[in-house]
Amino acid sequence: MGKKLLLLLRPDLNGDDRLISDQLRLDGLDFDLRTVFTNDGSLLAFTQPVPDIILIVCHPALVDGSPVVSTMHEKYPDTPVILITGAGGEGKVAEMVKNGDVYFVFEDNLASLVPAIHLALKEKEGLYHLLVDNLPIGVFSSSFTIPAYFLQANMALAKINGFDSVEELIRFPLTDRYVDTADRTSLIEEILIHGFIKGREIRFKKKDGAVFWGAVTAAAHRNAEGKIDWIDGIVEEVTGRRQADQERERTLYRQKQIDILLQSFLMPTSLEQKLNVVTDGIVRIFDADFCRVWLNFPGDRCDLGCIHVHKRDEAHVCRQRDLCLHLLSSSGRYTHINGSVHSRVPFGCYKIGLIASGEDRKFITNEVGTDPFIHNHAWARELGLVSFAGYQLRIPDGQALGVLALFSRNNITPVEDAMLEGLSNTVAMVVQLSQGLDQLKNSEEKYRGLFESSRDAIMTLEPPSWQFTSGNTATLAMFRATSVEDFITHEPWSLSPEFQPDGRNSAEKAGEMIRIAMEEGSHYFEWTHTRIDGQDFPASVLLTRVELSGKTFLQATVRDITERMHAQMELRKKNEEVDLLLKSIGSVIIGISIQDRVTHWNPFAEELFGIREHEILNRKLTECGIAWDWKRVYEGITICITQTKTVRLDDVKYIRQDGKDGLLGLTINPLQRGGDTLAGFIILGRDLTERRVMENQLLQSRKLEAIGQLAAGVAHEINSPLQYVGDNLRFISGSLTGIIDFLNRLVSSVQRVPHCVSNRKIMTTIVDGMKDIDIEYLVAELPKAADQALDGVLRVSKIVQSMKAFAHPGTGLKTLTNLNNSIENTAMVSRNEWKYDCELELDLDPQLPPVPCFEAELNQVVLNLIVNAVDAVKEAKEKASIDKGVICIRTRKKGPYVVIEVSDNGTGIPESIQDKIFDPFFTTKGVGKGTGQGLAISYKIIVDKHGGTLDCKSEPGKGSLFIIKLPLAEEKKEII
Amino acid sequence: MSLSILFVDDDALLLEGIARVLKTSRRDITFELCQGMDEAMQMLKHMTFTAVVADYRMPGRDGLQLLAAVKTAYPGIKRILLTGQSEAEVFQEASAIVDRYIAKPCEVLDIIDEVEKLIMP
Repeated sequence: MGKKLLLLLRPDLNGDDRLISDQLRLDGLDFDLRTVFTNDGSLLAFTQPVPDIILIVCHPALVDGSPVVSTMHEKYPDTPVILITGAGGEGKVAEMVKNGDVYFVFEDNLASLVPAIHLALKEKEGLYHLLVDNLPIGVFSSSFTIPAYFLQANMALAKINGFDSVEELIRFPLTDRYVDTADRTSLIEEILIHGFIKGREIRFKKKDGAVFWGAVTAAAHRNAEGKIDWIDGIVEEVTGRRQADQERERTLYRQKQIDILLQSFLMPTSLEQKLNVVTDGIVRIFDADFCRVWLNFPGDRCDLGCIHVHKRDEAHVCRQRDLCLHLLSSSGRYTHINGSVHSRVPFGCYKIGLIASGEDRKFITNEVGTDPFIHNHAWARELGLVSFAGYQLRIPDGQALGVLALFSRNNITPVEDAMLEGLSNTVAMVVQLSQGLDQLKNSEEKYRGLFESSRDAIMTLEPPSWQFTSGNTATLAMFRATSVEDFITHEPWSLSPEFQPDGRNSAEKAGEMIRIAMEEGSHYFEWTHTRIDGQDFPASVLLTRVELSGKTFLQATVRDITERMHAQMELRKKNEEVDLLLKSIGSVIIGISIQDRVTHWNPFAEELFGIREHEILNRKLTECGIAWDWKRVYEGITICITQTKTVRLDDVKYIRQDGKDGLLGLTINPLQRGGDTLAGFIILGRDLTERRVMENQLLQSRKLEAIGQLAAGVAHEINSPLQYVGDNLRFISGSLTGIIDFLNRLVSSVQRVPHCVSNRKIMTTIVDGMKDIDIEYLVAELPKAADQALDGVLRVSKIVQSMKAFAHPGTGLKTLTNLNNSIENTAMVSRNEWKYDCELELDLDPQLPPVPCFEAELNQVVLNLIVNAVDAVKEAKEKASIDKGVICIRTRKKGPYVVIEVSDNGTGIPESIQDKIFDPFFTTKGVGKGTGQGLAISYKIIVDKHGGTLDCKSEPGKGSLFIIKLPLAEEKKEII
Repeated sequence: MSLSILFVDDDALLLEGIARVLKTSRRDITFELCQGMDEAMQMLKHMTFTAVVADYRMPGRDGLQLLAAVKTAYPGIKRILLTGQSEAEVFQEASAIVDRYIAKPCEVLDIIDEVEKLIMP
């Protein structure tokens, strides 16, 4: 990480400094820490050198940190200040953040301190600020911890999120901003996999709860060890664009539907049937409540029982008695076309009649409940109708033919209006043609009018050469012909490239199209044309056989579909991108339909379960042979389906492709289509095995570390009393020698004194007293008692020392370690585990060189092997296959390695599971007795962290031998 | 030359234990006991000692501070730090100040041995 950082710390309470330096060390920061307790006085002593970072702890309930911050800023104007503060102090912090270069970290989230330090140093260079403040899009860096906060954000981001200031924004956990926090989870997962994420569109919540779409591009900032420190990213609000995209896609879809609908006009059906297709189609495509078409029939029909005949004023009065609107088609809510007041509407009467008569060629409203032109508001409101659209069916320059009208429960957008209007024009032409065929036969003039005025390019082709014989204005524009004369020199295939996209020769294919159209009356197909200036364009062509004035020819309606094709390409590209994403994502993705059939199975799933996509698609999930904990998966699926909510399953056991046990994290997401119809569900899964092993290993080391710290603290407390217990025992022991000697002499003197009457009484008292206290026993035992007590003192002190050494929190670096000492300590600490069941023999090579290793973790491995050996020995003793358990630990140097062997005479390991013992979560011990991770963790420590090997040789019934090989030479690690 | 040693520890029982051993085993040695740094500095002012043996951890100011003060004021007096800790950190910190560093628990006579070694190399 380059040079050592000089940190200046102003703690608030005793112990803050310890807490913070421990955390920083844990996070791998290389630093020198100087502590000042007072606000300013002692600062003088530290003027040189200027610190790189100033840390100020401020438990806000106790102290207001702002004066300290000001003092620091005065002393070191160029040094970033990080404030470490507790809950309740956000207000003050926000104030200080406003005042200048203050970063802050919550005291209960010290894990984000190192990222904050890096960020502060990075920002010191000023570039970041400049960049961020001037960008019109949201820029942020956020912590990677839980709960996550924005570490920095620019004003644009605050604005996008509906905040007035950056300070306010960063006060809230950033997960508050997600509509669905699962988005955050998947975003993080993807960043973990790819290191970055690009343009991911996510729904966010503004401060007031309003939802917006943001496109997130973010990358992880990793430290030298590859751990993620923080995330840098930008957010661009794309709500408008997304809506537009959706609108465009919908429009495209509808256009396609309309195209299909128009094709049906070519069927040899009656006009009524054709109109029915139109009204049905509008109800379906535009989700109209109902849709109707009226046509004008000439002549005064009022006498034929028109209900409007007697009206002379108000809404339904006839303005033109020689014309009447007749309902020809009705779809949706109402399908009858006679018997109601609407079956015959006077031309020129209120609303539809007005449209028909041309006073309102079209009328649109999105407020039918109140619009004065809507006749019956109560009815409209009761049915929930919102909008009305009516279009005159009219040929350009021709007379009104009728009206197409619809009511809808949704607003009619301008785009929909345009589409409906276009459709109405086409319908008008259909009506005109049909009526023309019926009534205006041989009226070439009418045809010409229609032909010329059409907005579609219409041209005619005549046999036998099938050259173009005419083209309307739109045709000339489309092909870029200068005149009709210019245009009619070409055949259709000469205005086409040599080959069509399907590889067929244009002339040959055109012949076939013409033949079909002539035989069937019409033919609709896609075609690539070439303009006269040589530019190709995709088109849709409708060939219709026309018989006019005794002649049979073809009319071609050609539409330039460049735009549509382009949009389709875009869509396809988007789908491909999604596909690619699905394929490249580092998670299992399984899609299942509501019929319980597998619809998606991505490559990651193939790899993880060893089942190929083609083997499983369209099969039932339950039959696919995934070896996972079905009970839990079933439960999850059931909840997902019955409650239509996302279900998260952690640590689902499964068997990996290589036959090893693993753990999966699954989320089962309901797949809803069109609002609330359940279309199936998607299972997302990640292999958590490695992560869990790492977490457990971390947990283990943390535990040991805690023991180590505790032992260090306890050591002093125990050692002081031990000191005077020992001193006093030695004093007693030493004094006893003198006293016993004295007593012995006393006893022998007493025995030697001649028994006379005068001293008999004294002698009896003495002899009886000696008998009472059993002086001989005391003399024999007291020195032993003192010596044994001393032994005990030594043993207690040794155990405390061993515990301390065993669990000594590492420095995070390999240290040269005397393995023999470590093993002795471990044996001492674990004495309680083995002493009842076996003997522990140590055969340690006194010539063993020091080994570079992580001592605490190595101790963990040895302890683990001892505990396993004891279990094996116990089992063997229970089976009575041995009387006495023996565990032996040997150390030897072998070439460039040091070898530690742990052997036992226990039950041994059955051959069938010998290759599984190092797998995570594999255990032979009863529930609650072992996590099944001891050997897996040991393996990781020896192989991954030390570059050594851990092997096992075992013979069932005889015992096991575990061999650890550690390299003596530190292998050079590449620094990335 | 007979030894005179000042023992400083906040634990009175510990001091008494030492006194018992010395009074029975090494009557040739004179010694004083005291429980705090200030008291120790007073004694040093009025009496002459060959060595000061102080406990590492005492309430208020620790033994290391006392020995540092002794080093400054009476550089000729040998300084021995007694501690229940055995961390390398403490050892490093102490090495510039003390002449010997002894882990508790130990035998009092070992401490005396160390003092004797210090004055008669």
